[in-house]
Amino acid sequence: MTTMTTFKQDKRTQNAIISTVSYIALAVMLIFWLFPVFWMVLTAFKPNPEITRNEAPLSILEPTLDNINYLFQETEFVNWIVNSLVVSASTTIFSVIVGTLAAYALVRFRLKGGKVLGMGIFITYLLPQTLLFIPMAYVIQQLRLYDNLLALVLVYPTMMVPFCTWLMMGYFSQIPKDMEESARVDGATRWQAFYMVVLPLAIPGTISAAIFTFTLSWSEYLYSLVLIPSSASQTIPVGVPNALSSGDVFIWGSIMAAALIGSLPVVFVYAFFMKYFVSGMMAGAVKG
Amino acid sequence: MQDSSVSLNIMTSKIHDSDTLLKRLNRWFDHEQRLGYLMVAPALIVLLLLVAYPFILSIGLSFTDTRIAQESTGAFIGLENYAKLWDRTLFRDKVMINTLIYTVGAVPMKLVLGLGMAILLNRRFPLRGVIRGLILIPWVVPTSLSMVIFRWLFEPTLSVLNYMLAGIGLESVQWLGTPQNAIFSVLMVNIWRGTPFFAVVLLAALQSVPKDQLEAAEIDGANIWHRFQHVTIPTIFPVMVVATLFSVVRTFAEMEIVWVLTRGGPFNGTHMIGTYAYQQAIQSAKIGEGAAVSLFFFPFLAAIVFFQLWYLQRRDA
Repeated sequence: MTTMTTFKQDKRTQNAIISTVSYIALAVMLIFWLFPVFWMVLTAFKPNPEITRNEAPLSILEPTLDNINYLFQETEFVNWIVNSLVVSASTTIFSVIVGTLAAYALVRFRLKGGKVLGMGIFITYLLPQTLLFIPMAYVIQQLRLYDNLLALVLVYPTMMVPFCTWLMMGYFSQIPKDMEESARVDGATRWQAFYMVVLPLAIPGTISAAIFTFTLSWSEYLYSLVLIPSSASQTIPVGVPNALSSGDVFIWGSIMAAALIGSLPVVFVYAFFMKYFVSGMMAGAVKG
Repeated sequence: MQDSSVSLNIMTSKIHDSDTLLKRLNRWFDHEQRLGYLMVAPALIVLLLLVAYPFILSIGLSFTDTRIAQESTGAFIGLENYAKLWDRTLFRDKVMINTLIYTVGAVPMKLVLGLGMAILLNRRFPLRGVIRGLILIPWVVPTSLSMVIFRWLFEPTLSVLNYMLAGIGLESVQWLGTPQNAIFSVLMVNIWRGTPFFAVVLLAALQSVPKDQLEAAEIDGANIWHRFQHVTIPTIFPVMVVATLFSVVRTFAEMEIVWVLTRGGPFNGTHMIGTYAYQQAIQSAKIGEGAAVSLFFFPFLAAIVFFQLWYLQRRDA
């Protein structure tokens, strides 16, 4: 009897220790990972004199929108946003359509060479851009598309088509086969069975593929840096850091405002769709 | 009257003709192989023209002295680019060593911290959903933009980190000022950016650990560490392997973090494969040599990718 109660007490103290330690760990973790984000937001709304005086950096005496106004009136920020939007939207539309078609055929049809192609797509997805950006620059120059946004619309699908295909392969393999089989029995062609029966069921999958393709394109740096040298045609991820090195005096307030506004679309997307992303990744990881 | 009825006839027969053509086309494509190839064709074209071709081109270019903006390919010089790189102390003692430090230093830390983060986030606590979302922000924010934040955090005179260090009585640190400091800072920033990725993936894996097995182990007297070691780890191990390999490749070839923070400096102290390839190929216009830089480690990357493929397929089978 007594051993039982001491056992229970031990258990209770053990649990108390574990929960205290984990709360402390949680707090440390939040500070380390979120302080830079907090610092960006704070600086974005801080007037310039306060930033350079640096007397109480962790607070704002008079919050201001001057940094944001400066960004929109005096810099090429609006250009960068429009460029990023155009490139990301075109890449997304193209890659999702192409990836969905390929994924369906690879999952449902016994194609000769289908396995090799599937593997090629997976390998392409895994290989980093660092390996391809140099010949890509050469090809784009031969095509006379250097410093042209079209270059990015051409190049981004090399990363995004494999990504969409992989994600959609995971999705299609979860849709039961009897859907198409009963449609085929009712006289539908293979295309109709795909287009009218399976595709509507796969819409959530295509939406998550589209969302993540958009955010990945929105964030892409290396190809954009290499292929678009002139400032007015740049995308946000390249334009903002370049603004840092263009002048001697950095206007930190407006640079932080640019980082904040440039991140917002992506942060919103993930806030609402994270679940789909994780399940999509897991589906892909299981199926490979 | 007559004329119009004739032309009407021709028109309907035309419609009829095209109709049968479409129908015939439809029927011809209602075939597993033909429709299948039609559906994969666009993806295949992208892969062949914009991935396979540039890759082969890259190997070819690495054997030449081609320069950017040159109308034709440069002269064939065999393995000279590779030999030159191998002889260059900058490449051997900085680029290679830094890439190794970066990968070997960051990936295990990201795995361990990511696992810890996932375990913490898997527990019950107030505002769990919100905190799970917030912790992802470092991974979600476009990397080049978060690197701009770190430039500001590491600013030589106005660094808020130094302000806080002074607050607890410590000396200022020149975060990116010396080669040793810079490589440490860059490594920390990589861990900052990459850990939430591990946490998300491992959290999803942790949620698939069977609860009844954990409870059964507890009834059998297994303590918390034994349960973790014998039930949790075996279940999430495959996900750990896949995430780690993925991260090894990405970290090894990383360019963005280092380039925005240090441009490979100071004194080439943080140059890595990605940054050096960019500097040689694009900034110095030596496209052949740059191609050799990025291909130098291709065998290593290829080995990891194939191991990953093999591992996934073995697990599926």
